[in-house]
Amino acid sequence: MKIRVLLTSTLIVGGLPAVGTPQTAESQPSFFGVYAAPIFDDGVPPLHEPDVIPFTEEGRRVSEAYNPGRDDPGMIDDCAPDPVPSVVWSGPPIEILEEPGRIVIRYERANVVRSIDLAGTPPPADQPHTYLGYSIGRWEGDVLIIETTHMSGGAISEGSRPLSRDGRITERYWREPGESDLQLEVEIYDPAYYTEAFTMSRSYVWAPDEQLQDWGCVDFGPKDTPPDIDELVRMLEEL
Amino acid sequence: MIVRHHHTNSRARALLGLLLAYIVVGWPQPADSHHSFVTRTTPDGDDAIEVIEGSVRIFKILNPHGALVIDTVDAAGNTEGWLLELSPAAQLAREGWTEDMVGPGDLVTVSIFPSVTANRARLRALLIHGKADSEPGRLFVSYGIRGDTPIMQRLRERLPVCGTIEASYQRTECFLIDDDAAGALAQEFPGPMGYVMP
Repeated sequence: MKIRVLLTSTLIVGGLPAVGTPQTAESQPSFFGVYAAPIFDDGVPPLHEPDVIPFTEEGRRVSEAYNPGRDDPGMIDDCAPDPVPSVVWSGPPIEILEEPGRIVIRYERANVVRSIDLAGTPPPADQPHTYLGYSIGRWEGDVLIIETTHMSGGAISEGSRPLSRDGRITERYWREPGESDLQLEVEIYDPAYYTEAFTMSRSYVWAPDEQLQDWGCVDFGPKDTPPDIDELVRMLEEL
Repeated sequence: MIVRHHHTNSRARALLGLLLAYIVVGWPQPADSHHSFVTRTTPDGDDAIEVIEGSVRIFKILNPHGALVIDTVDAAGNTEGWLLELSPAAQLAREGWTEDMVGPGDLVTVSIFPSVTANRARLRALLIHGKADSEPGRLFVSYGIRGDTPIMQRLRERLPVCGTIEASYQRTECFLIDDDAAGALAQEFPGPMGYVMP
């Protein structure tokens, strides 16, 4: 029985705005700080997607063959890294920070940290495919737009919405006038699996009193065999 | 329907005689719920719900899931351990869960979403029985019952809250159940933990 404890440290970013303190920069919205999920129940915040997903034939085949126990890394390993884009649907809080020339998005979930280049630097020719992908951001008015390529594929969200390694996503973050909550719309462009681009969306609640907590991860062992309860208890007692 | 043996003490038997039969049931529930494992489903494709009873071995608030480990005893006297998983640590802490709220030897009855793999499940409701006649049980309802759900509404209408949970998150609530309340609930919502069933 594999039981693993993975302790990771919270990223410390010097010289950044205090947690939960909105920042105002010229021509930019003051939405930097911590956001939490709206009220939700079944493990994920409310997620909106089209009634009909525009699968290609191959996309539908992959979707129907999806077996979470086999294909979802999080179901195989409790401490598997949360990839882009599925991490954007996670429930724990996030923090959006402003750095010179870039935006940093921290997710409490799995201590994921994304660094978004605002200079428009294109990915190098040998850019590898990674679980975070390669992201470039820009402002269009008060909307933060992030385009990401070179992701490792897998699933767009929980369930059977596959993403190929050639997929591209565009995130749009904005606040409605007079409101402090954050809206997110994600456009998925992945011709291998979908006949046309489509969007999924969610919201975040402005949470200036929250602070992100460290995500020390404990893996309870493989999911395809019953847990060794005595060994598990021994491991838990040592934590 | 499978009927199993109670693992309980005399105090708990008196309290729960009308409430619990240690019965495994299937119940409709949205099938697309997030889990860290594949859950067992009913013939209709809904997540199955089981009710089991046992004594606590350890409770830990961890990421990505809190862990409650309990021992149950079947009709033949065999002990069977269960790993019951909860929400992430930081979320549980925000809601007011603490590791000392339940400890080794405490008698509990739980409503769970069982995994397809034996002895592993997601916790949806936890009843911690009082240790003495004068001590009411504490019922924590969470996963699958959160928010302004009919189950949460019925409990709020009938039971006092413990006062230890941060209700603003609308995810977990804790209710107190004394003998009188237990009897009334059993009559109105028959079956094992019928008061938290859909």
